[in-house]
Amino acid sequence: MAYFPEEVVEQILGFVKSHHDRNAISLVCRAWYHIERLNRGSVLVNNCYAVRPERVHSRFPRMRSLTVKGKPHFADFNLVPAGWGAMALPWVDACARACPGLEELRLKRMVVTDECLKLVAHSFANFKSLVLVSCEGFSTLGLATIATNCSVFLKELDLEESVVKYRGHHWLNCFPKPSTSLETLNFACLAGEVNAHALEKLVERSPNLKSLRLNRLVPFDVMARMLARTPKLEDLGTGSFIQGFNAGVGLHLPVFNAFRRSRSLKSLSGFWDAAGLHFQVIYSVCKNLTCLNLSYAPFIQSADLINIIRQCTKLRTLWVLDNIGDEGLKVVASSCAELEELRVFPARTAVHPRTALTEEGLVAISSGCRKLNTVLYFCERMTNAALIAIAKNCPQFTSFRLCIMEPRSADPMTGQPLDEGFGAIVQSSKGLRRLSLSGLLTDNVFLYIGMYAEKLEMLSVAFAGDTDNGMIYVLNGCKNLKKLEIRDSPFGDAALLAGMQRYESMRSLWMSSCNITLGGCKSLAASMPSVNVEVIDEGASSIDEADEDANNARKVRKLYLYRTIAGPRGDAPGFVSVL
Amino acid sequence: MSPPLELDYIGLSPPAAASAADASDDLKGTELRLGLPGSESPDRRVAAAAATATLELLPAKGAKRGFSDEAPPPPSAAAAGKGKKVAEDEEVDKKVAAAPQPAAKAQVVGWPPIRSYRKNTMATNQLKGSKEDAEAKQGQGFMYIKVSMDGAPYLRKVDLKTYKNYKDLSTALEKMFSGFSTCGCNAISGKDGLSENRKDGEYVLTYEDKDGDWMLVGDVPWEMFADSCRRLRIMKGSDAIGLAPRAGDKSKNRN
Repeated sequence: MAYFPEEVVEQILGFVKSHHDRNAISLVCRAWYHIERLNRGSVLVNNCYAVRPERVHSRFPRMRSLTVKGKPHFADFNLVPAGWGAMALPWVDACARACPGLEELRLKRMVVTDECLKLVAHSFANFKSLVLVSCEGFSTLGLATIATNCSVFLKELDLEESVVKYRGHHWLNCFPKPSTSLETLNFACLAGEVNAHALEKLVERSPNLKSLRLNRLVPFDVMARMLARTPKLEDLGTGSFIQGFNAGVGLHLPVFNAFRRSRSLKSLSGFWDAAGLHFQVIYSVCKNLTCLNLSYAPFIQSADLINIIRQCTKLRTLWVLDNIGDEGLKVVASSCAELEELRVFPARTAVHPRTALTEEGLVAISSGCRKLNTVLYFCERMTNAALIAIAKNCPQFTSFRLCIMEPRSADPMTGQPLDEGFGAIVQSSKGLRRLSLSGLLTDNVFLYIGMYAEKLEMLSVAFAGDTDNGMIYVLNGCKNLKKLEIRDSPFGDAALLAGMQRYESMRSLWMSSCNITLGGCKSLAASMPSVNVEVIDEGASSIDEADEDANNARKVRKLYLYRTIAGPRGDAPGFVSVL
Repeated sequence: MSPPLELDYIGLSPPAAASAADASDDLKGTELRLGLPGSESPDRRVAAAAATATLELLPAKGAKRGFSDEAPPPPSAAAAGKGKKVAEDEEVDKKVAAAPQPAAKAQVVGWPPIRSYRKNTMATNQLKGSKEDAEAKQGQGFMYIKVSMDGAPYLRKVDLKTYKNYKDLSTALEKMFSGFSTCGCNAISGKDGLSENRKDGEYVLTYEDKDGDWMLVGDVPWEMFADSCRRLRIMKGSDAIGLAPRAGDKSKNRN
């Protein structure tokens, strides 16, 4: 191996894109470590506090694309208080200094300010792609600076599910003239109105647009006109179906025609205020659709959903609301043989009656859609029998997330916990990487998980387990576990400390509303210098109280620990104690 | 720092008073907890053991349990992270749910695990769509009112809440009705007021207020107008005799 010419290794490396493989290659020997690091263009930092930005830049001097993730996953559900951290500015700052050739920046769950966006806009002459997923802290003014000052090469501006403060709609005017290089523009999350005229002009001068996701305030007629001008469009997120929509019969014809002429449309989303009758306009594209997201459209009734989905025979990804019901899912099962990913969210509206979605829907899907590998399913009830059947039908799950709405729901037919059902899932899907549990669960389910879920990387636990053993089984058994997040489960210090050998090889652990004490956390922190142990305690009194024993016996409400080579972070707010 | 007010998943925000109240004993009767009505919330440790014995832990069939983020708890109610009662835990977890709301449920923070982005989107969606016309209640996210224009074959609807001032409204109306008459909307989008250039254009923007009277748009501050406006009518100037022209001395508060 020492004689293997570097140039050859470099060549081969050019084909290796996966971060996982690259990391493995860099561990082979010193020489390969260096070849790899000088060759890596796309860097992924899964935890912004695991490493300092400067260190990343010095290791990968030829970085072109940087992805950084910030807050823990449970921040999505409001479990992480505002102000916790994950500021993007230090990262952008470091890039501006060390990597002026940066082309792509992707941030997830981070706080991005307008100042930060301004820095991005002015620092990178070749900048091509800005993707902000579930970020917050910026406004449309920041977007305006990006549009104005970013290079003409800007291809992608994607604000997936971010929270953007509305400070006027002028940003759409700011993109380069006479033409832009935009291929992807996603502002579906924007709350404020959009200047339709500016939007139309922008689309007109963006001949390469492939993906366009509008926000819900873009009127229907505007969308129709834009559709007519974007023949290459593959992914559309619709605007409003009510605003701009005239009751006159002839007037939705242009939209209908626009859709009919879109030969390349493969993916649809949006539909915010659409009702059944509006749907007819998309009939013509259904047969080409591979991706359909109707999960923000609560007004579409099951019957209309069924009519649409019946025609979507090439569908690979489907996101719907639970008002589709079991019957609707049975139609999906019989129509969409190519389905790989299904997500069913609760509609939970005051308007619609209780949904007709039970475990049967998922069973039907599992028997009809043999390629299914990713499931997220919110339902009111689930049985062991159903889970066992699903496990048997689909042994190729990579991600299985089940959320039974009522915590600790037992099997309604037998009254038993759902241990056996989930056990069947982990036993059958040997490639399972992500699992979310719900329902009534004892320590047994964790025993099964520890025994069978060898490839499991992420486990989400809520309201489950009886004793510390549950957590211990998982920590001992799942060798590939990277992220463990637990809430409202009776695991205490013994379980927490049992994982001491594991936490350095895991990315992070989250525990909230469990039985761990401050003392336990402190002793863990003391024995693991390469792990940051953060105790998040909003609204509680200071941690350094006089009576140490009483203090240590206090239950910790929220614990977040993660491995790091950056040491304790300096930007922790008052309610976070880094032990 | 105060956490932002969080809306119930279905868009109803619990009254601040109710959720701010400490769970004092006299409120115990009104509290909603996870568990069947009439039963004590079981000690978490024995919950699982008891589960096999009692089928009653099944979700009550009729009871729709919509979980939602609780409104910000007061600093003293330290159990921000959990909404269910834990017997061994001295910290008070009982949350008084929003009693007057028919959909009020026991509130557990972050359960069901639905992204706040999704919750907010759905809440706005449902509020917008659930009404058909101007009977929009105060405080909801939209206010669609009919807009008619003399001579136009059909009416339009606008959401007054999406505009912040008269100028925005007039620009929007101008766009909406530009197909009908080229100069028709000059009157509407006058220089700094709505009823300025009466002589240039042929049309005047008027509205019907809560009392059913037809008023000239532009006299009152924007908020007041938006609250009391029930319909809009773009009236021909020649019909608008009797509405005093307001040129020149046009008033202060344009928004």
